[in-house]
Amino acid sequence: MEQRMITGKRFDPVVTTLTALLVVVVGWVDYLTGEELSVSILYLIPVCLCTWRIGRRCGLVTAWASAMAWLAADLAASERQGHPLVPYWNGAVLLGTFWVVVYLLSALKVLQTSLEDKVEQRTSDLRSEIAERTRAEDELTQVNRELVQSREKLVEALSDLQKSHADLKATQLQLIEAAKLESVGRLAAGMAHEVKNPLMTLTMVADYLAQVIPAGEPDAAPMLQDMRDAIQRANRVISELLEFSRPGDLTLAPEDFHAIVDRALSLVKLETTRHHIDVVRRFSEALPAVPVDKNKVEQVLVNVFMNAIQVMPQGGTLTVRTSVTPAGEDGSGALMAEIDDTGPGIPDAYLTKVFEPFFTTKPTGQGTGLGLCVARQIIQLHGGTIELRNRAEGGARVTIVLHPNQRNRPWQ
Amino acid sequence: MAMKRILVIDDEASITRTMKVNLERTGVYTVRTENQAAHALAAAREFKPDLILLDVMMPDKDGGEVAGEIKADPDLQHVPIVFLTAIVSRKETGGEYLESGGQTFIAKPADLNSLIQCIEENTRP
Repeated sequence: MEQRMITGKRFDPVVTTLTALLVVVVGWVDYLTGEELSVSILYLIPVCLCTWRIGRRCGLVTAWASAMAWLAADLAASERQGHPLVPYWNGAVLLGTFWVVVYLLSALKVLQTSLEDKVEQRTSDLRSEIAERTRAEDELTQVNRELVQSREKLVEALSDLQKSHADLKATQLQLIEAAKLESVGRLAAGMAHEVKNPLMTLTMVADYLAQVIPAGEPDAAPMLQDMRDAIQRANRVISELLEFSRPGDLTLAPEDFHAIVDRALSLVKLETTRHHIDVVRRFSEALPAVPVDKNKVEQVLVNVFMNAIQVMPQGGTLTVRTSVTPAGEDGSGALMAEIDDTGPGIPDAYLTKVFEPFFTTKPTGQGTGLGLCVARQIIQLHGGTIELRNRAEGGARVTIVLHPNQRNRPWQ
Repeated sequence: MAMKRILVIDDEASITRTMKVNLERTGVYTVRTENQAAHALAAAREFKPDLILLDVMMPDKDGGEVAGEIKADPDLQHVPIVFLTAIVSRKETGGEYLESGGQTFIAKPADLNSLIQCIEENTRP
């Protein structure tokens, strides 16, 4: 840039003409005014103009031309009385002064140009930087948007994963339960074979003894009855174990649940009467049509009723209440049956164990510890739930919930 | 009236012996017992029973297989077979015995009255 200016590459004909014209005009004015009025300073106008606008070299030429014009005007304007070389000396001094001005001005110009260049460069750099930043910002925005999308996808994937995990866990539990049942089933079948065959022999022997023992033997009849009771007891344990291990298929059909409750209550009527137990029915009028295996559900209810009766030997109240639960995810309410007794309730320590196999609070020989376990299994096969808890007002409550849409039947 | 011929096939000798004694004491039945499933078919051919009481679980051959052999014999195919099983509970049979898929099952332990009732119902002309 500096070189261009100095060597006059930025030649400007207007400025050059104007400069030449100014030199001539100032020279002419200088000539006209003579020695009385000094206008030498005016020569600096074209010199400075040319130097600033075109360049140093051109400024030097203009300075020389101005000095020559001044000299010509000076020589023409007056007659000299001093030394003849004085005008030339003065012209040379003026030329030197002009040249100094040209050099100073051109140096200033270089400095300004350099500054301008730097400013321009810096501006350009800043623009690039701004463009770069804008681009980076755009990219960042894009990346941010992608991140948000990725996050949403991740959240969705996480939710799916959690659901899969829960499903897997449920399936695993069902598999474990099924595997447990299978092994218990094998064990039960083996035990049934090994125990029931001797029981068959004992039954046959009891039948034989009943025929051959003389009628006058006073202890024979009760002893034979004891023997038959013992055989039945052992058989009952094994049979319930078999049933526990082999829940079997359900024969589902929409049934009148209240009719099943009534049938189960009629089956335990002898016991409720014997123990002076009042039976209270509080039936809901609008129960959902829940498909159930009526025989299996009846078995569950008889089991629960018998447990309730056994904890109220001196009498009490057995209440059966039915209702509809609030609508669930599928939009339909479930059937809920609550069976309350007025017995002593279940000790807290036993509450978590009552559905475990072989757990019983009854005296030895009166319970196998499989009744509630089988009941739970049957209700689970229906996709329902069964719970037992103590009531605040005393006694225990069994709650059975059966859903109209059975989607979770673990063994099917 | 001719005595009914009952063949009892069970690997437990105590069961076959006590069943034989009890059934024969009624004076209505002639009973032959067999404790080895492998000999069941030969025993049936020789004895020509009116009804066979057949254990389901036996060590050398299961009851179903023995029943298949008997039903394959033209002379024996009409003979009713009642299976004695230890792994069907009384609840599952819904009573003294169970009829399923054309087969009759009686759950062990069964008392004499149940046995007689079952035999009579399955040998009725």
